[in-house]
Amino acid sequence: MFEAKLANSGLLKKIVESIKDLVTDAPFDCSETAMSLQAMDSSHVALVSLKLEVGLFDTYRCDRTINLGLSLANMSKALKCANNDDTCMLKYEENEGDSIIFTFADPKRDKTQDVTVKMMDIDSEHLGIPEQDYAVVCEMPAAEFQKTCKDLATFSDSLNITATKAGIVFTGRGDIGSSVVTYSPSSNTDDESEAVTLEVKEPVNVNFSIKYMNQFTKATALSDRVRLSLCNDVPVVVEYPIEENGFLRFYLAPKIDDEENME
Amino acid sequence: MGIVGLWKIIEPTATEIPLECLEGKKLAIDVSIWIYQAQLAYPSDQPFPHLRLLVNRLSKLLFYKIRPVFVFDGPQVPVLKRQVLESRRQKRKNDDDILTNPKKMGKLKEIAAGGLDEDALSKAIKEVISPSKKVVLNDVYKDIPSTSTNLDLPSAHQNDQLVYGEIESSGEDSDDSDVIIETPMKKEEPDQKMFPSRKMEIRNLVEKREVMRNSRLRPDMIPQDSKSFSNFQMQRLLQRGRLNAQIEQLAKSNTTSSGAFSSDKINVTGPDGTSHVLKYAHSDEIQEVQPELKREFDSLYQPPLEMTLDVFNVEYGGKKLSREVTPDDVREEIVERIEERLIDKTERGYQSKSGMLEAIARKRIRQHYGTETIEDKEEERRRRREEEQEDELIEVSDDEMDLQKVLFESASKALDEKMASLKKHRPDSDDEEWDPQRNDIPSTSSAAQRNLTDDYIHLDYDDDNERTPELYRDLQEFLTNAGIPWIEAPGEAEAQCVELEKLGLVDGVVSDDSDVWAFGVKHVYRHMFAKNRRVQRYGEQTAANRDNCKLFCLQREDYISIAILAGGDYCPGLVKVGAIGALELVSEFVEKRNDQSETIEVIENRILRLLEKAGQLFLSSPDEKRFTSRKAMMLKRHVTEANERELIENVCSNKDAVHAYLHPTVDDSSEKLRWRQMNIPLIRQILHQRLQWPDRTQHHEEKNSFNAFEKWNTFLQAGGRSQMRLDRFFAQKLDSALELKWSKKVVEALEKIGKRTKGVSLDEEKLVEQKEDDEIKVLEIKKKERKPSEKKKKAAPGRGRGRGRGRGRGGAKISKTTEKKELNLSEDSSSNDSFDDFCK
Repeated sequence: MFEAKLANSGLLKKIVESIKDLVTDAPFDCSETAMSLQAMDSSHVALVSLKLEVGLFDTYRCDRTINLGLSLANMSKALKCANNDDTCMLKYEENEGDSIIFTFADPKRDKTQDVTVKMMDIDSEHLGIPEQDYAVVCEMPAAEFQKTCKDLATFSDSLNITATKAGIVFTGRGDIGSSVVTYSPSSNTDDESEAVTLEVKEPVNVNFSIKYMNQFTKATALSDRVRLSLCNDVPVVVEYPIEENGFLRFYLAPKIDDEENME
Repeated sequence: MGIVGLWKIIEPTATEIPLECLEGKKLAIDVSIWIYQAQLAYPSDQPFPHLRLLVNRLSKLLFYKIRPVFVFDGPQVPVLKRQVLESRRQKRKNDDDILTNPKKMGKLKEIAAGGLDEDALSKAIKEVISPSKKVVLNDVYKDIPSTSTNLDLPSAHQNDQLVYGEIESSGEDSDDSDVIIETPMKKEEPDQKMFPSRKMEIRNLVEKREVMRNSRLRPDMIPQDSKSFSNFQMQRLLQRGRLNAQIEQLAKSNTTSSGAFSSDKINVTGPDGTSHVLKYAHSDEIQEVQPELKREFDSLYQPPLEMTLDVFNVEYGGKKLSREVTPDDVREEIVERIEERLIDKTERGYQSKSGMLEAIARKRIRQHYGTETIEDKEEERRRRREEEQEDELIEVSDDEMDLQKVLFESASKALDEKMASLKKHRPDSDDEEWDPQRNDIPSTSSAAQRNLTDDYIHLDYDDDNERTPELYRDLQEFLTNAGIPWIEAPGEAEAQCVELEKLGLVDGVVSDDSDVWAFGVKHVYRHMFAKNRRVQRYGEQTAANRDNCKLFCLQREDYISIAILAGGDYCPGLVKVGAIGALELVSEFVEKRNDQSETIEVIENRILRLLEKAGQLFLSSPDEKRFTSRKAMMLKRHVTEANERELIENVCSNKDAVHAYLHPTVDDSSEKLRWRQMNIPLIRQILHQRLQWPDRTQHHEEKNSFNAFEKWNTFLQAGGRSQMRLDRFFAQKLDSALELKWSKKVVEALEKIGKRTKGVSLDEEKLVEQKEDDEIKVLEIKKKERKPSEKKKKAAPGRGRGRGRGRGRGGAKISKTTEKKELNLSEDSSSNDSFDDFCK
């Protein structure tokens, strides 16, 4: 059996909302130490990797490793029933059929609500994600990254990221014009959470679909900070840490630039 | 056709990939045989079939955002190639022709004479009916012929067949529906338009005979004792023979009066025609007696004979040419049969241009000469038969002719019985006897029908060569309008594709022609347009094919050596030496080479030296001690048994072919290739006009194509940036290695080549002499043994001889493995390689 209780439903809500447009089906792998999820979008361009460690939960019990396949749309419907402050208990009993029970409890009002969601058979093949030494790791406020992506999206459908020791530049260039956002590594900011930190082993210059980036930034609600790990010709990792006990990562395959421009 | 059997050796290094992986790649497309494919793939009334094929295939490429460069053949094709194609064709014809093949003819006579015991008879029959290319028979056995329009090849053989049949792009609608699929022949459907009166007469007679034939004998009508039975049978046959003679008479006057004998048409039939005609005579005779005999035997002794002599007919490419059909029917049947074959062919695909040309020629016959020539043939067939009979019986009166027929029929009766028992007793005899893998030349599966029309090929071959540039113009014009780059190679398209890759203008080559390897290609995509097959990628190592790639060490020079020895477009090759045999030869003589890029001259000299050494081996006197390796001796024996000294000399000193492979005529301009957005209204207009698409309703091809074109435009609009996919980075679950393994022989040869080219000596004899110096080398061998060869066997040709001092563990290990090796040798003799008779 599997049983896990979150102190507030809001967290799960935010997670589901930020990924449900990207992936439709979510095979949750529940083990003794964590609840995790890995899924690619239908075009195999982006990958969502979620890890919720035991520390995030008020209670957590998982007798053996199980795989719970859920439709994210259905999960989102279930979670809509909950207030953000409600506690959320996930329960799965092997001998009780193929459903998961979400129990939302409002401690102030002594109210509980049980929502049962049918599970799905999801063919989940775990992808091996190779270890990668990234040439550039940049941390910045999540909101800042979100705004940048939004701004560039109005000009272009691809986002160019260039990073050198001097700074990281986000460029969106399109027919109507262009938008270039430059961050120099900030050493003078007092507020730690507002700082943009940049580690550069090698300069990079990569292009990504901005549409996907905008999808990812929906997770901004989850975390104050975002970390971008970049390398030339390799998928970028956009990582939102979750309360130091987990993360939501997005992998996005780059766009290959053609060396000569078309007429 | 490329290098005979080479794909089979290279194939295990391939991975199958989804087309999505190719997004944004620039690929050179070898279109050298598309024109021929197009003519076969579409019905003959299709205007601009080549353009239609191009549009469909282009759509497929653009849909997946592949940047194609189309490479056309040019005029400067080496003379060597034409020679080789010509001689191959000639050879094929002779081999399959019973009557020009003295051995087969002899057997046939033996059969006719009777008096063979059971075993001998079955053997003789088999020898006669089995064409030199055994696949045909194989097919026939697998798939009883008459009604089948789709002779599937046995799966093992399919490895060799390149399926070019793909016509559709992304949409998988079957184009077969466009091709007329023939219904089994109808016996009575004379063309009344031409000569009504005689026609009717013939028809009546035929009907009469048919009635006779079909009237089932009641058991009480059949005499009980054997003697009167045979008399009874004789009577029936004679009766029918007279009927036949009448029909024949009428038919003859028919055709002559209709002017079918006008001189040019006879010329078209040509001198070779005679042999085919003779063959028809045989099948005809046999066929004629067959249904009835069959029926009688059915009712009397035998279970239903399903096989019978239909086998013969298919063998010879003829349909049931029994005499109850009038010339017109025959024509129709042949046409049907040809069409059927064409469909088979298109489904099965082509490996060679020559094969395609022949098939096209056949198709054209149907269109142009159809009526007359085939009547002609029918006519001449009859005349021939008479002549033949005259040859055997000096004076032949009509009655005697019938007698003669009866004699023949008794032979065929024996055949019939034999066939039945063959079928009954050994239902899987085809597997035992005719192993498809032995066949290194796959495109000859329809060698038989080729006979039918060989005469025309010469005409049409030239004709096609003249027409090709014109057809190319159409395609090139379209591509220019579509903004897709194309190149007309000065010489061969394959070579130009490889050159583009070398120049860095493209990322890979799309070709199904194994010649690209001899031209030094690095990345090949095969089966790009094949239906129901995934694209095979060569030249890139992934987790899926890592093991195979590690072992694989062949380089351009090896491919060329194999081409020279086994046969390729520029060189005929040795008899009974396939790619695997050639690989073994190469493994014996290959030299050390440096990893760094070497000049072409160095490579050329090395190939020539290798060939020279091989030649020395073959031509050395039997007791010469220089080549003491057991393997080498066996190779030598095999080669010298099958090949004339002169041929060996020619093959092993074929400098021209080596030169042609190493210095192909190519255009080495490195001008950047450009892709423009498509002007969709313009393209739509052009295609509507040319392909005669219906104006109102959108043709499905049109829809598919323009979907793809629009997608392509969006892709280019976005700056031609291509979105990569994660599959490329993370566990590539979409890639898969082919479930293919090399045979032991190939593994052995590859290992040997791998070591030799790195300068590791393998010959024990030499090792013994070299003593000390070898210690390092032995260590090297040891190192290598740890890796791929641990479970496989050693390449060292061994006799378990001691290896001198100072070998340590390495030596012990090697001698152990040589034991294993000897076992393997005996196993190998039963393996399926083309070279397998070599151990016998």
